[in-house]
Amino acid sequence: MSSESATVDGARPVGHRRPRRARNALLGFVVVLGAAVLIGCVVGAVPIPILGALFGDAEINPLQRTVLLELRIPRVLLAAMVGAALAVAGAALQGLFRNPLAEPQLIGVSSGAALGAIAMIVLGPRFGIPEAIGPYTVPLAAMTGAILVTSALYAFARRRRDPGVATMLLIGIAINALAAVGIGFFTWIANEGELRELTFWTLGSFGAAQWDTALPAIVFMAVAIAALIPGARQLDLLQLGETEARRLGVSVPALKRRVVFGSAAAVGAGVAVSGIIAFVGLVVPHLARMLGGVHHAYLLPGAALLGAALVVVADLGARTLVSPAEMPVGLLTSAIGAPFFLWLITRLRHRR
Amino acid sequence: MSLLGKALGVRASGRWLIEDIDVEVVPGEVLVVLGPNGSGKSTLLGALAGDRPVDAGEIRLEEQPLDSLSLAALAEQRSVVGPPASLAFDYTVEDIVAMGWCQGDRFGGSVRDDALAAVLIECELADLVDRIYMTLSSGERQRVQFARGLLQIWRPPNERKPRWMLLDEPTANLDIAHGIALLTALRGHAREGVGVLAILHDLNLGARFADRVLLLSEGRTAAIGSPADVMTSGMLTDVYRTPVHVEHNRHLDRLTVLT
Repeated sequence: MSSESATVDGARPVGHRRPRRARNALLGFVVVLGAAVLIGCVVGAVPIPILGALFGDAEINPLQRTVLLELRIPRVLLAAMVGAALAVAGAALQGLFRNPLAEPQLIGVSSGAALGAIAMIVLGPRFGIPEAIGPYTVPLAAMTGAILVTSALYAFARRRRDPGVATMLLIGIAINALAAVGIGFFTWIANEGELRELTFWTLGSFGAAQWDTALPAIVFMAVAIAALIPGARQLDLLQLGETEARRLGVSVPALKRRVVFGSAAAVGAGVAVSGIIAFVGLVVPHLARMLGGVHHAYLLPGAALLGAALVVVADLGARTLVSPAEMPVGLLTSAIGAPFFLWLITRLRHRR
Repeated sequence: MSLLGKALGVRASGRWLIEDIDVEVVPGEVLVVLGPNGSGKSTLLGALAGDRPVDAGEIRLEEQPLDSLSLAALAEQRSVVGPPASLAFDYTVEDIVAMGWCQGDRFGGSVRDDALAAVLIECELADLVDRIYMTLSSGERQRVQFARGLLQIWRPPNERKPRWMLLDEPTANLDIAHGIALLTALRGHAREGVGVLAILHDLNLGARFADRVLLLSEGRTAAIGSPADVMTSGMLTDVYRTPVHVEHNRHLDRLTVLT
């Protein structure tokens, strides 16, 4: 057959359609993220007329300037980065486990990270770790917790050969319960000051965002995301199964390491600075798949952009909906994510 | 110049799944592996594919020990067509076939459109390209598997490097017409320089499309050679432990197997 001019029905040559939808979706996400970041910087207890100052004759007074540079920008940046990290980690874990319900918080990775962070806060001073390196030790401890949980989960999933969706969630419940024991233990032995720090982990908030704590975490998350994205094509191939992927030239252990460490670092660093923000890693990848397709080369960056935008918006809601008070952003994402999770389960049940 | 297995043995939980098997898959030739359930066919295929190290013997691909080749180098020279996968996400038929393209970068944007179109048309999948893979029938999925295997070892017509294709029951789930079409296509590719090893259950299809037959029984070689030499009534009755009658049908001019 002549292969140069092969077409199916004359309408379009086979193999030319795929990238367009994904590219449009990515462009859309970039625009949405830009808008979200801008609005996030403008709106708040102290409104800042950024557009007016740039294009009109409005002026930014010293107070507004301080609020913008020292509070607003680090907070919005951190929210965007945490959103991106959680969403990419969710997408990559779903790909690795070949399971649409693998989500950092549901399967216990976030709890492992929180436990690691809390253990470091409570035990760190007792073992004489100086407070000055705190901004680094707490994220590192959180990442360690996340890596331990993810590796254990993967070892289990492998031994059971394709654990079903239900098994996966049951394991998540068990791991979350175990982590709760650890967190409860550290809460019990914590002193007054530490206790106030601990409560913040269970709900998630960007209220404490400052440059000196945010920056190390942002760097960790950026590196983690950059490490995950090159695994995209191999994650596609892995969907055929480990043996099949290997026969197609994929070094499965290397891919596994990349995804386990990358997503654990992303989630760990995020949890360390903002606590557990639930359901982002579940909702965002599914939303991104619906909008632009299932290829990981699109999905990983797409989920990062969309996750960043959505969490910036969620944080905006968290600090404006009940102003002058502020609600935990994790509460807001759960309020949106939990019903979505329910809907997803019913949809999956229909399919299988 | 072949895919050569010498005195192969694979052990699992204390017993030999296959033992002392010599096999050579030569470009240009279709080698059909026959044998009852549990006779070690898939284990042999897995060993030749390099899925896991063998416990005895050695495998060489063009004189190179198989375990000295990188996974990527191996993937460029041989494809393996296994049973259809079950997917968690909504990949299309075209996506799944395109996954066979191993010559590209890691982002996968580089599949050659003419190659992809050629295998899709050859496997009668052109009308299904946009269908979600998991909505296909099992026979259609089987053809997708075959198409991916073909794409994996696709080469431009002027580049005649030897390649290999290992297939585990490629005609399972296929109707008679599609089964014959697939094996006819396979023979065609063999003639163009592909070394084919195919596990089949249908003895008639085996007799009809094999250049050589390897008959396995309880993990060992029962017989190897041309279909006429290997597929005799006595041999097949022995190995399958059920009466099998083989005769040469004069109208069709080929062996027919009656069970």
